[in-house]
Amino acid sequence: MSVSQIPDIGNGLQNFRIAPSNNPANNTFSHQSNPVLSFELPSSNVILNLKTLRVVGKMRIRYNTAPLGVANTRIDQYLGVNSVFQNVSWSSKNSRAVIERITNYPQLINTLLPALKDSSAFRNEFGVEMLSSQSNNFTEKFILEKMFQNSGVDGLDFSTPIFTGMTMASGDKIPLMPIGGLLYTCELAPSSAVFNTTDAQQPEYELFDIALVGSYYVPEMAEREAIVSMGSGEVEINTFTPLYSTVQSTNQTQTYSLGLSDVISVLWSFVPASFINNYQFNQNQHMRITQGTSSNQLVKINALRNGVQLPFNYDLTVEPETLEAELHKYYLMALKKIQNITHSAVDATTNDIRFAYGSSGLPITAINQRSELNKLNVAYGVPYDVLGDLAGVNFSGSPLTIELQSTLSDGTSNAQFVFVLHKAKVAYGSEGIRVLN
Amino acid sequence: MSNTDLPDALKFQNVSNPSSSKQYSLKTQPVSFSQSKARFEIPRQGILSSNAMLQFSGRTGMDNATYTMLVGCLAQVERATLSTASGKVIMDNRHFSEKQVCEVPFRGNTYNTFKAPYLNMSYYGFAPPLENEDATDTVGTIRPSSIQYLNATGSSIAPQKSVIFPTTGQQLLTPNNIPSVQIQLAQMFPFLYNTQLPVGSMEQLFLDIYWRPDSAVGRLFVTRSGTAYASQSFPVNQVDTFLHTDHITYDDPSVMEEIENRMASNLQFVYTDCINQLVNTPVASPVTASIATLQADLGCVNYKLTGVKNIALEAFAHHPAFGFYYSYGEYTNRNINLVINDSQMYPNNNQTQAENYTRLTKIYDMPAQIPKPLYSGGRAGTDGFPTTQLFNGFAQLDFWGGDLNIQAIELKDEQGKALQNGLAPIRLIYERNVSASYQAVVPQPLNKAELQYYFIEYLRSFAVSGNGNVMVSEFI
Repeated sequence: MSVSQIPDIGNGLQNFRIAPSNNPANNTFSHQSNPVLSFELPSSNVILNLKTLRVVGKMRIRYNTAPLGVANTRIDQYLGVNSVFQNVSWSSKNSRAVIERITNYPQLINTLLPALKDSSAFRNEFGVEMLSSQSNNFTEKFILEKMFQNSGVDGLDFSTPIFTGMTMASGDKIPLMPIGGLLYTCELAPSSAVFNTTDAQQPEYELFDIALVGSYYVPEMAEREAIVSMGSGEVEINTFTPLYSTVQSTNQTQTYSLGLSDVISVLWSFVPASFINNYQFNQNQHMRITQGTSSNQLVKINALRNGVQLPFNYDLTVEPETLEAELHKYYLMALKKIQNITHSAVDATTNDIRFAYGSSGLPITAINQRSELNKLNVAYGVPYDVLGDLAGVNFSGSPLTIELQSTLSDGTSNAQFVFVLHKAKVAYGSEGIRVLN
Repeated sequence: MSNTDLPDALKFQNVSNPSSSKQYSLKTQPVSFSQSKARFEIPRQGILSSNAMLQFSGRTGMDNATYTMLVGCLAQVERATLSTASGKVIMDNRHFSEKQVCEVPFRGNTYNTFKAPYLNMSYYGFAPPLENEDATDTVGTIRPSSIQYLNATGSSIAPQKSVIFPTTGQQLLTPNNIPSVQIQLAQMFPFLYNTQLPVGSMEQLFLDIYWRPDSAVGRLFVTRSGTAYASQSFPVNQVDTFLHTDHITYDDPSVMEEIENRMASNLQFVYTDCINQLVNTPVASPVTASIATLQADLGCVNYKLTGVKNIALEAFAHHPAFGFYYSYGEYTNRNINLVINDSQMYPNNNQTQAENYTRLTKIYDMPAQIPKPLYSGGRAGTDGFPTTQLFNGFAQLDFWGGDLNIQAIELKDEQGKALQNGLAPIRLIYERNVSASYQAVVPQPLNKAELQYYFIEYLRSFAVSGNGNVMVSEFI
């Protein structure tokens, strides 16, 4: 039901709640049984503010998969329920043309949120909405213990925002009819990617009572008719393009043919490749380059466009065992105009290489990973938009090269998750939609 | 609220054409004062700046007493009224301190932890435990942030010293060291946050403050466990009660002329007012019920609605730290739905607590500073807060869990347009339910009556005519 659109009565607010279009009979999604969630937003003459969207529902540990309790089990402290969404995508509902697809979605969130939000946000809104808290102990007590009940009834409710370029960085509200409606798809991650545990029993998660909620703006009659008759046009969006690489040597040169014209920034993070889909470890934590049980530092970064240094016209070098202030500064600048970042959940107390997870006092082990002292979240970035006006650099036909030098001295394989933030345009017309990068 | 049509000088913002001005700051005593009411004449001079403050100091009859944690001294004001000499009431803010339960968490943790204790002696705010605190008390918990430790192990904490009142003995000394507190006029009349009134050209305005009596523990003050409640018959210190106002006059006569010219054709101020509806929720029957529903009319025919806020007091009981300023929410779900213009505002009637929190974030475009266990202590049981750590002498246990479950519904649309109600009253559909597994931890939580406060915000207006007369309207 909606607010009446009788002239002079009501207004343009219309709240909606959309169940997954592929909702199974048992109302439950999991990686083993129903690993894909799809939500369809109609091709209707209304306007959608994507920032109002939330995926809501409940999460629980499947009956009898953690009979020993959860004392030795954690989910990522910065991600909460978002650990379960492995890949997400936005498409046109009618044409199925993909507008934005993000693989390794948890890694993207961990690249963005801990730097842009502060500890207070994790203690308050993210705790309630996303089941994340920046605290491993809190996660055990208030998240996992409530998910675990071995009766399979309640679960823990969540209402998480969607962290894609479409929903986060785009100022425009989207008229749904010209782009043929929207389809939001989430592919679920395996439980081994969500939980890390040292128990022999391996917990599995389930999602149920899932829905997509938000609100439309329903314009006045004349405007609605105008939306119906919109012939062709463009909607500008900011979007992330995900890439993946591995680092297993001291010096590494990576070249990406992006084919993107308005690149705003490039962001990346590392996790040991052996952590991926490994119940013993958290594959979503952003760590330094790892060798054995200790962290290694990036000591030199070079970013090149077409073989020419850009934006740094020098080698960005870092003294070992320092706080890597310069790296951190450019990482923050890659996210936002730096003056506008006033609070951050990651800082020297969480990331100092002398004390953080991976230091000699807190070596990289499965037990230490769930320690309250482990709040490490290190990501790196190269900004191409230092003024913060989101005018990017043209990389179409000009490859991006990233040269990394680290203190890694053996062949340990470290997974590298790269995200390129750039502008794109969604052009719509009688032939459907096209995405222009 | 829309005040875009007002002259620049009446908006609380940087003006586009700066003109030199003079500020006169005045300190006004009440024209009448008792322990139930104080009346102030707002000085008629120039333009009243939005920075006006009410100052007073409180007295308590108990040792180790503090104001209640969340609202602090705001609890002393039961009702605030802004009216004119001709008897027109511009805004009558009843249940002012209950409404502040819905407002204070939006101020941000930094403000509430560091600034609010100086201004209004509240000490709301939560922090994770420090590494050197007693691990048995603090593993995985959060704790109030403005605290002092009462013993070496950290298992007993109390509010920070700066918000604790002098003992009753010290209050009788001269000087009696009773701390002054302040309330912004804009807190009582929110349209002053962005509007400045041309009081020099208006008929006389009066501010009436109705003080709340110290009738029970938790109404004004709380204290440590073991200290018996003692009422204070004179909780407001008359000699320290003032209204501080700042008045602006512009050197360029054209600025005031513009205002006066606009007044010649009735200068209209559009603002957001709030009416209150109290709804009693009875005990669910049978007492083992797992769902309790209630429907009621909330009125507001023809109003231009902007939002609804809600708190629920459980069984009329006070909280050891929050007093009577909290909102009970220890249910699996607690759901408010409204039927306006014969349409339900939300498609479903069974929203989770996480969804309820998301609604809150839309009210002020910022999140409320309410930690998860405090917002929805569903199935928190004895895991709510540190199990052995005493706060003010009371075991925290689960008495904190779910006790700040404030709710709100945004009714403006994307364009900021208010929702025009038609000729039918707002219909409330209220539901609280508990699952079987919840009841295993907290038995029979529906066996409690609730007193619910609904604060319904809507647009209305008043106009000032050329001779300064004020005309108020319920509508715009």
